[in-house]
This record gives sequence, C-alpha cells and structure tokens, in this order.
Amino acid sequence: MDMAPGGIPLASGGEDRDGLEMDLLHLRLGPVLAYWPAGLVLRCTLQGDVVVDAETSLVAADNPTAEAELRHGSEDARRFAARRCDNAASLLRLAGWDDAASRARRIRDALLFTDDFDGPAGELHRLRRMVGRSWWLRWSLRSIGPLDAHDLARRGLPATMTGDVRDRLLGMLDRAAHRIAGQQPPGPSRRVPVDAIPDLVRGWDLATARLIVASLDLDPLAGDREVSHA
Amino acid sequence: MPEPAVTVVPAGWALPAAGLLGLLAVAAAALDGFLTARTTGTSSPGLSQPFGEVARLMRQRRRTMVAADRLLWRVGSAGLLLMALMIITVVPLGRWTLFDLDVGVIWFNAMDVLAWAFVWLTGWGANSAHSLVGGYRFLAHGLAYELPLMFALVAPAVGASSLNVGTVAAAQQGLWFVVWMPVAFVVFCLGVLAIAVWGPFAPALGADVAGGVTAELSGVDRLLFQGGRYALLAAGAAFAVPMFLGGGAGPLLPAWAWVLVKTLALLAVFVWLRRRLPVARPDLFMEAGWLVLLPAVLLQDLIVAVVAAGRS
Repeated sequence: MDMAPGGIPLASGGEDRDGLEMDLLHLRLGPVLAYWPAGLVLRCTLQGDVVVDAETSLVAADNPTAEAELRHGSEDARRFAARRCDNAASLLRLAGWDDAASRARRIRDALLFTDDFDGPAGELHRLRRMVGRSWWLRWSLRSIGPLDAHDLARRGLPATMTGDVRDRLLGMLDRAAHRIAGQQPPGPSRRVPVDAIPDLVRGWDLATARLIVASLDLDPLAGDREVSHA
Repeated sequence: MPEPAVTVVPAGWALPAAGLLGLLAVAAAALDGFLTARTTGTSSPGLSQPFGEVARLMRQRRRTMVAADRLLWRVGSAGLLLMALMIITVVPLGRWTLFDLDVGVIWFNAMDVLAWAFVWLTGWGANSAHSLVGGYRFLAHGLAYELPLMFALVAPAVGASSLNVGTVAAAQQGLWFVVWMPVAFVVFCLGVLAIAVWGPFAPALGADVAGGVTAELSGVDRLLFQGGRYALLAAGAAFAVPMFLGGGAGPLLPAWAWVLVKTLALLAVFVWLRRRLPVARPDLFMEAGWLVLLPAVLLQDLIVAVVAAGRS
C-alpha cells in the first residue's frame, strides 16, 4: 500500500475523546490569516475538526519595531479604541455578521483617520446597542469559551476576560467607548499571555476555537515577551 | 379530466429560460454588491461588482492541490448551477412551463437533495483540511434543514391535492398559500437559503475556515460555484412563487410578469438577509432544526390536512 499518496504521509491515529481511534491532522493557524491576531501561530492537532491539542508561538516576538509601536499604542487613546474596534470587527466577521463587522471597521477608520471624536463615539454607542440587542448573536455565541474568575486567576488572564465570547465582545466595545470618553481602563495591565491560549481552545471545534482566540482582544504580537518562541 | 393548468412550450425555450435564470442571478449578485458597498462605505456603488468578478475569474488560472480528486471536485463545483437549471424546468412562468411534471414538487425535492453531494464533493475534492471541514459543516446543516424543508413542501401539495406545480399555483385563486401556511413558507425559505449556502447557512464557506468549501477553488470552478449559489437562490425564489405566492395571480400585469415581480421581490429579501444576520453555527442549528422547525412544520401540515379533508 502506498503510505504517502501524492508525497503526503498518511495521518497517524490517536485516541479521541470517546476512546475510539481517529486520525490526527496537524494544522497551523497563523501567523498570517484573515481575522487572526497577526504574528500568533497556533499549531493545532485536529481529530475531525476538533482541536485535541495545540501549542502557541509568536513570530518576530522581539522585533523592535513591533515593540515600539505597541508602547506607543498603549498610550494613545485613539489607537487603543481603534484596536478594540478592529478586534471586534474580526470577531463579528467570524461570527458571520457582515453588517456589524463593517460598522466596527468604519468606526476604526474614523478613529484613525479623522480628527472627529464625537462621530465615532456616537456610532460606537449605536453599534454597542445593536450587538447587545441581537438575540440571534446571543444564541449563536452563547456559552462558548466560558471563563470564571477562578479560571482567569489560574491562567494569569486579565479580569476583563470573564464570561463567554459574547460578553468579551461587548467588553471590547465598552472599553473602546470608555477610552474615547476619556476614562482610563481599569487595572494596570490587560496583557493576555499567549501561553494560556492552548488551554482555552482545547476540546472546541476549529470555528469555535477561532471565535475564542478572536474574543481575547489581543494586541498585535502582544503577550508576555517571555513566551517561548520556538 | 380537468383542464391542464399550464401549457407546455417546446424544448427550445429551455435556452431563454436558462438566460432568464442567469439574469436573475446577475441581478442578485449586483444587489449584493450594492448592499456590501453601502455598508462598507466604498465610493463605488458596487453594482458592477459581479461583472468585475466574472472577468477576474475567467482570466484566473486554475490552481490545483497535491493529490486533489479533480473529477469529483469539478463535478461538485459545477453541480449547483445544474441543480438550479433543473429546478426551473418545472416552474411555470405564468401559463407556460417547460416540463409539466405530475410530480413537480417531488422533482424540486430531488434536486435540492443533490446539494448535499455537490457541496460536500467540492469540499472533498480539493484535498485540503479547511475545505473538508467546510464540506462537513454543510452536511451538519443538511441534517437539520432537509427534513423540515421536505415537510414544508408537503403543505402546499396537500392544500392543492396535487404534486403538479401548475395545479398548486391554480389552487390558490383568491387565497395565497403563504397566508394560511406561513410556517411552511418560512421553513421553505430557510431551506432555499441553506441549499444556496447563503447568509446564516454559510458556515461551510466561513471566514473562520479560510473560505471552507471555496478555500481552494479558483478560476472557472469558483465562478461556477458562486454563480450556482446565486442561481439557486433565484431558482428557489422562483419555485416559491407557484407554491406559496399565488403563481401568476395579480391585477393589471400579465401572469408571466407577476411571476417575475414576485420572484425578484423574494430574491431581494434573500440577498438582503445575508448581511443582516450572524451565522447559524451548524452544531446549534441542529437543535433548532429538530426541536423547533420540524415540530412546527409538522403541526402546519396537520392543520393543512384537516382543512383539506374538511373541504373535500
């Protein structure tokens, strides 16, 4: 029997969560992927479309320009709010809600490329209300990737990550709105250690795993610099 | 022997019928381009989007994958368009039809089930993980939408005591079936969105799996697949007209014009819905399909059957 059709070796097997033997497929997500935090690499092991194991790494984690931009970004309210809107747009796009995603993207553009603050603030308020009211989105994202205070503390995640994917989406929009209104975000740091990601996506299917990663509201290449970038 | 509800036209009219379906599909794509351009705020109105896309894909070279199953891949990507063409053969345009089949309703059902094969084969053929995940997502949706869709088709057939599409349309003189079979109509529309892998039923092509079934499609194959989706939306909207919307019935305009007007209106609603709703994730929709849609549409069938038995 041909053990490598087309030059691709056959998949090795492994026990799945029901104790049956099932093929293992290795799939790498990132570092460049639409609606994905740039620079993050997630090496997944799939059985069917369920992520049974994953490990993360960052490309160019000690790239000085990315570092400099990040420091600059965290000081600038405009950039902070625009990044939250960008992340919200990615999550909405992954959830398949194109209209809301387009709105979030337009707010981001308005924040970055116009001097007006009131227009985007009003738009953001309307978007927040629209997303909060959608029962279809609530149904679609309900109880995906739930995290309580105990989980957060154990994994070193910031307190803003509490709840499920929908809660975190609303949190992103709220943080953007607060920052535009001139309030400082609560807490000293809301960095998400990328080492925590494999634990969060293990056991979910590929689509849900992507929703969970998008809901973490990462900054580009953010995360603890000490992470192993193999 | 009852008078036939429709006149069968010579087979040569199949070509104009296909052209009409093509025009409807282009209209749907242009409307989608327009709505997309409006919400994303680009300066161009977006109406020419389908023409640009066709030109781009016609010129694009076909890509292929290592160990791709090319035959099945291409059969799958061309299949949706074929399904749409087969569906419209039994849809009467006013008084005329191409194919006055006694079991036209079953014909539609037989054609819509082909989507299972064609969409999945397109996902399978590429030999890519994302495509295959997309293909299986479609099957998961299929398990949830197909039975409700079948029972939704039963309601008008029982109401008209016929499986002939022309007879079903003729049975709606005075009262359209959509008025007293609203549940069946809504479920039928959901089914059409699902076979066209459209709107809430697009996770098989989702951005989260890099385009899913379409991830590796390029050139003409992609054009046929995407064109087939629009054509299926149009064919589904056209089939809803004789089944639920009174066929060619309406004041002033001739019957054929009413069929087109109703088809375009329903098609526009389908296209507009795409951007308005988040996706129905396949794992969640299974629950909605079996616990909500199926009982609701069975109840609808029961009511229709009781009314039909009472009348005869």
